[in-house]
Amino acid sequence: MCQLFKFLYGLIPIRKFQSYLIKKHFSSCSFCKREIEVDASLKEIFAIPDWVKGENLWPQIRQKLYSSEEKVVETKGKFASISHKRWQWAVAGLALAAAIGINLLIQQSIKKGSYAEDASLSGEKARIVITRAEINGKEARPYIYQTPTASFVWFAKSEE
Amino acid sequence: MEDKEIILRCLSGEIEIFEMLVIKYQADVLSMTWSVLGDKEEAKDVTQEAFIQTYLNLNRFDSTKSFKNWLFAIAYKRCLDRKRKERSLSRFIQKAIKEKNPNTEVESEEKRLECSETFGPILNKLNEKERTAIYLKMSNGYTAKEISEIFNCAESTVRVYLLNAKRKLKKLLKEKKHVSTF
Repeated sequence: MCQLFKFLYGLIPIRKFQSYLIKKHFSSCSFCKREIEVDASLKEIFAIPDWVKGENLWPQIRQKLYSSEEKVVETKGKFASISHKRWQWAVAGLALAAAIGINLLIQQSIKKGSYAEDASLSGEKARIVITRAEINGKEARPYIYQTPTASFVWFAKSEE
Repeated sequence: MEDKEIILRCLSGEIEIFEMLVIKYQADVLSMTWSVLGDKEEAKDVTQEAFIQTYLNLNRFDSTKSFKNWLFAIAYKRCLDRKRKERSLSRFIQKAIKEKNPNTEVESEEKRLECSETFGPILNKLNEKERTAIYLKMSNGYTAKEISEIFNCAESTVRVYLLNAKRKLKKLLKEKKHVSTF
């Protein structure tokens, strides 16, 4: 019977017909009648209790909200000061690292500069200039061969 | 004034306007927390905490969803937290009592609640989830889907809770009627 009711209710979606169908069905179907009764008694059981209706929680909530707002502001302030301190430490660390790095770079460049200086000096020193050479009272021809690290000099008798 | 408008004004720093939301929903939330906890004072405490938590997290509220559902979900979670704390405390007390007097019988939390007159003899027969689910359905007209959002579980699970609760209640009501006719 309930199935037929559901089928007809879905089949013809006309309000007047549907309300007629509901009235007709619920007046005759004992199962649905019982269900309605159960629902009505459950609604009674679950009705909001009287003591709840008389309660006003706003004053307590208001008080707690204001104190929690203060706490939030306080913690935010604390957090800000902590994070500020952290930033300070981070900046100091970065500055120190940068100073060390710059110092190392300067030292390296100084070292490189000194090597270059040495090399140029050694180059100057190694530059051999022979103005006159003699072998057994006769003029000799000088030959000079230089590498970056060594200098070779030898003399040959002139063929004249 | 609509909930969303009130929320926007709260977010701009007007604490006093939050009173409108408290007045509007306090009875519903309070009776829900009471249906879970079974104690008036605790229910009041948890309801207050839930409203405060809601206010402090208003910026996280998804305005496309229902504020009432969100509030109920927060309140329900707070109830569960409270119950968890209570359980661990009662376990600790039971252990302490048993250590002191090994022969004494200690009443469990569930048994205590079952025997208490907090909800009346009928509602005490339901477990916590069944009681809350059927309460939300009957008293607030919530659907299984809405309850599942509050419980943070599947809709089908809520349907099972509702079905079980209704079956138990029907049986109890029948017995009550039977007893009262004699």
